[in-house]
Amino acid sequence: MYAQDELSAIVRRRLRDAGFAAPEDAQPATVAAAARSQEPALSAYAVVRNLDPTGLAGAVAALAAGLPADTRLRWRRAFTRTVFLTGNPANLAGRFAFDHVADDGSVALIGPQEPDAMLGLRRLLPLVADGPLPSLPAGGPVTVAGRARADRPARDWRATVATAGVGTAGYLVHLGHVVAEAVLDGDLRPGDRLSVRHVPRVLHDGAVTVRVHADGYDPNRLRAYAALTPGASTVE
Amino acid sequence: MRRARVLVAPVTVTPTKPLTLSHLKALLWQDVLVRATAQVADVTVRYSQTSFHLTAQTLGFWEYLDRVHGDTDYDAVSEDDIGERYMCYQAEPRRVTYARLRPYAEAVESTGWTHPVSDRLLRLWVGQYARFGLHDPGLLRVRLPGMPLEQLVDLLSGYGLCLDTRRHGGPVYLDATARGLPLRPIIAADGQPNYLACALRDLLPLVDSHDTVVLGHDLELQADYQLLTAVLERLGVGTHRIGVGRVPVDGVVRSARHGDWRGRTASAVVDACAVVDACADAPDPAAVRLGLRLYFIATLGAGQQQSFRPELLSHAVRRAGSLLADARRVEEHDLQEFLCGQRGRRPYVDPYRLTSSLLSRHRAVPVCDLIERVLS
Repeated sequence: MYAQDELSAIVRRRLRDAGFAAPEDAQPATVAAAARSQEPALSAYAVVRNLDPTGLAGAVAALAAGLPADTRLRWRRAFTRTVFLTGNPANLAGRFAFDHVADDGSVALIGPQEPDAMLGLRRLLPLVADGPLPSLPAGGPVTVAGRARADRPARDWRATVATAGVGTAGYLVHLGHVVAEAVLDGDLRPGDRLSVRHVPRVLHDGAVTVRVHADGYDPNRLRAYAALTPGASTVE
Repeated sequence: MRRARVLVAPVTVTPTKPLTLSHLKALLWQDVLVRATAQVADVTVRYSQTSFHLTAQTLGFWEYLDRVHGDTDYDAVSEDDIGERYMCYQAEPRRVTYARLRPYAEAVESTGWTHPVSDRLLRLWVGQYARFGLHDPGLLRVRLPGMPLEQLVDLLSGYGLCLDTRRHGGPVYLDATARGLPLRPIIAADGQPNYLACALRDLLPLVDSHDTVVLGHDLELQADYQLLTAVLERLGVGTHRIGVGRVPVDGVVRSARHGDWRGRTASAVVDACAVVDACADAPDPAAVRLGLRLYFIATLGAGQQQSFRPELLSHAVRRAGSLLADARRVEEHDLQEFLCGQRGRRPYVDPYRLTSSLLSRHRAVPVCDLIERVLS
């Protein structure tokens, strides 16, 4: 289990990585305030038809890996903000240019955009409803699309996401952040294999990226909601 | 030449409250549209009360009455009394869950079961229809929707017109985003279908046997009916919409849930206009029926800018009396030929254009036939 001071250190690191001051008592609210303080904040968009965790993780990783350097920097300063909308990408392809579409069409992504740039899309689609999280398929690992670099061999990663006390919208946000930030950190790269697994609570397991947020059970506490850890899934 | 097969599907009035001026206006428009178009095309009217019993508004009212009032003999209850109970139902702070409405929904689905309160209203309306000269489209007939709900979802999904998120705890959406229309829920996450789902279940089995569909709707439902039109067109059916606005009273459009019918039910208003001129004889019922059409169609038009003015309705009834008296002296023209001209390139005859033509002094209008076969 992560201790509160470890989680607090992770929040401070996230603030520093995004180029903000990181006071000792930094909380998720500090991150939210920092995100609001910078204008204009970029936002990526995900159009979700089916909740396919591995497909979504692979799509977010591919999108992040394909971003130009200046957009990466600005998206990082926006704490990799992503808006998750319900919709069928196939019906929208004629109206909107998606940057990445999952092979099975379950999700499509538009890279970070200026505020108000996607009002047309927002008018058409509702946010993914934050209902109780359904049973999610485990799915096999996905290979992150994009041009693999030759400086290191492909690696296996597993994204672990907490499911106890987590709704559908929260789940998507946590998974999206942990994958996107692992790519921006340079850990997760094109050619790597990524699997997703679900646990009631995220425990210590040598993660390189941890998604920390206010605990839904007690907002005065922090909680690890997702983690990206080297190694393949141990489930056969 | 084969006559066009036109399916006319007006939005129904749910039998949970009194018939108001806004309802009367919509019903008069529908009636003229159907009867005029039927002179020049093969018209089928789809007006199934049963299909729309399945909406939350109706099922919720029935459940409320049984929960709060228990066994009540509705046989002698007035329209106004039912309206008062409907307002109390709408004022409840919370809606019951769909699970509580399911027994009612299942009874409607299996036998077309109708709660006695709605049966009472529909029987009262049959009398009012006769008085207003409206053709009864089968208010008391059981007409089950022609397509099961899940078959509808499958059919729409096959055309990419449906996004079913129930597996993830979300609703089923109607998806015409490819046409630039927003996603619209038609079945809630708890399984409750809304009136769009009811309309689609009702219409889709019929569209193949028709050349054109004409949808009649309240202007406030315009966005939903644009969506319905987009869906039918995607399925390959030529579809037209006629939106008719409500009737504001003192500049305000209010709904039945707020008591807009108090003192202004359709029958009360027609009663009042018959005694507006206390010195005159009670107007001829034929003049009242024609006057209603002149006022609610030609004077008010399709929009909803003008507030209700009883003196203008009385004036329309007097005007109708003169028209009826004069009609007997006018040389007749051919009704079908006239209505074909009125229809122009549309598949239906526009009620506003048609009714206004009666007031024109310059056109050759077959007044007698028109009044007898379409406007009374």
